[in-house]
Amino acid sequence: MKTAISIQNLVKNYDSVEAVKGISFDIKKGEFFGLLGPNGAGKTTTINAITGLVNISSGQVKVFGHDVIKDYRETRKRIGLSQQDLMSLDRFLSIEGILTYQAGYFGIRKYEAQKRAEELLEHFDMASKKNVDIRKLSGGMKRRLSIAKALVHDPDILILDEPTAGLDVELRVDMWRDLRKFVKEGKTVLLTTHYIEEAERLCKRVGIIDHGQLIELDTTKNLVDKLSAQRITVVVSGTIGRLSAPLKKLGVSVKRNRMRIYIDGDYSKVGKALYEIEKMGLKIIEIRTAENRLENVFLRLTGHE
Amino acid sequence: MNNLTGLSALARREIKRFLNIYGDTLVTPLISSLLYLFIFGYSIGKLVPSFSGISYMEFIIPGIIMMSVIQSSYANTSFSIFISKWAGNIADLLTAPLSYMEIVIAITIGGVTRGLLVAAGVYLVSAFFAGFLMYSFLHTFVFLALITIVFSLAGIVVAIVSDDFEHLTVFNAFILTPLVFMGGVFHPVNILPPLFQKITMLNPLFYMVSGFRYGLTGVAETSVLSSFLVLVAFIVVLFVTVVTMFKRGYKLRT
Repeated sequence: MKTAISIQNLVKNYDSVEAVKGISFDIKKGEFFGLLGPNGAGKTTTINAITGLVNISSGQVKVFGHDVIKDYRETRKRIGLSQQDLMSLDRFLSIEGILTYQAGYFGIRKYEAQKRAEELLEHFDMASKKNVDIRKLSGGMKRRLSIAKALVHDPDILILDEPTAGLDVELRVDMWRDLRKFVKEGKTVLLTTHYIEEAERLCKRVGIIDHGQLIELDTTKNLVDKLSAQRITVVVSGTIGRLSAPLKKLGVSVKRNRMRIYIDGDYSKVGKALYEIEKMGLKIIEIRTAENRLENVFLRLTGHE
Repeated sequence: MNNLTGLSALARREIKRFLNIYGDTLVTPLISSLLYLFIFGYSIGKLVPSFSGISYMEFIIPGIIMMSVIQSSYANTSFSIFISKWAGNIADLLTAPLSYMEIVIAITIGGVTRGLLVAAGVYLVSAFFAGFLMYSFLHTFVFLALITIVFSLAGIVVAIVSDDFEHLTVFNAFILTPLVFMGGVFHPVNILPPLFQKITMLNPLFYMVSGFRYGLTGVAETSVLSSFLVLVAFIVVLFVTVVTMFKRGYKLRT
């Protein structure tokens, strides 16, 4: 399958801070790809390197085989970007104006641009607000407008930086439906999100980025299976002192009066751990199991558990 | 240039922006000019002798038009780019398939249009005081157009370099306004002491005002050709500077 986005050894430094440390990955045409990571991990910087909003320190980014620096016009034509920051919508234009002018910048003639803007406003249920000042829009409306703006020139690649932040559940589900439809049409989506559930539901592949490094890259399913984040939490009465050597060997972690056991496909660990806990003279008052979810994988990998 | 539709859309956006706030962008310079014409031309002007066969009022009308045009063109582009940088919607331009040259030309068209509209307005207002001055329409229009281009480009440079609003006003207050006032808007250069005459010759605004004054009155304080060449030189230098700034993303891309 054709490569839509290719990132090779991308490095971006902000003065002395290395925001992105030589990451490489490809996104195939027609793929729904998610980039996950905590705040400040380097997700937005990576997106900005693809769209031309940052000067790359080193490395190469290509869009459909075209270099984003040398052939910037060709690459920008193919990309629709919805930024995380909703303040960046043009405050001097009406809602309809934002869409028609944006289409114009992409070479779409006035009549066609207006037609396209009307269709999108209708689709996003904003037709009645087309002449409204954007400062009077709610956060959810601004978010929809930002996505409509990214779609107005009918791009091959849609890049969405936290697209459903601030949207209520109903709007978020509507957005997911739209995005799935977009991918079904053969288009490519690159999405960053804080909602792990969103990535799990939508993305075929996920890259997890932390401290500017790509720490995992796989299909969503493989990632969950491979890392088998299934865990058991054992709650005990009283204070847990120092862990015994066998518990440490089993990779048990402690937080207040709880111990966590990661199964990692070896279910015999559970019995061994419970035996060792009993041996420490601790009284077990509750045993909880956690689902095998991408969220657990993410938290475990980024050390934010 | 191969995205003329994009260039045209951006130029229309720039024009729409200042037309939406016409009270501030078009009416205010007219009122300021009216006050200058009344106080300097009509009141004080009666006490001042004529120069090279034209009255003081006729002498200052081109200068006052120039002053308004320079401020308007500069303000249009500097404000537009600075606000776009500050709010973040500069990303719309930086992620669009517009060449850097197309971006610069489109933004400049916005500044030129505002400058020309203000010039037309002040010219009409000045007609109440001295009738419709016009020695050579061609010279007048060429100088007017070139001057609006120079200051539109200068506005873009300052907006890109500026990190906050203060920088914009500092350039205006400490560089642009003194150059305009010392560039022969209100006084002929030959009434100044020899040292100040030499200093004035180093002021590019002097050549611009003089060239434009020639178009309206037929009187110039320096050669029309040198005025024209100074303008063209400024345009070339500023245009290359601005396009390079966009290309390198200087203070535009992080």
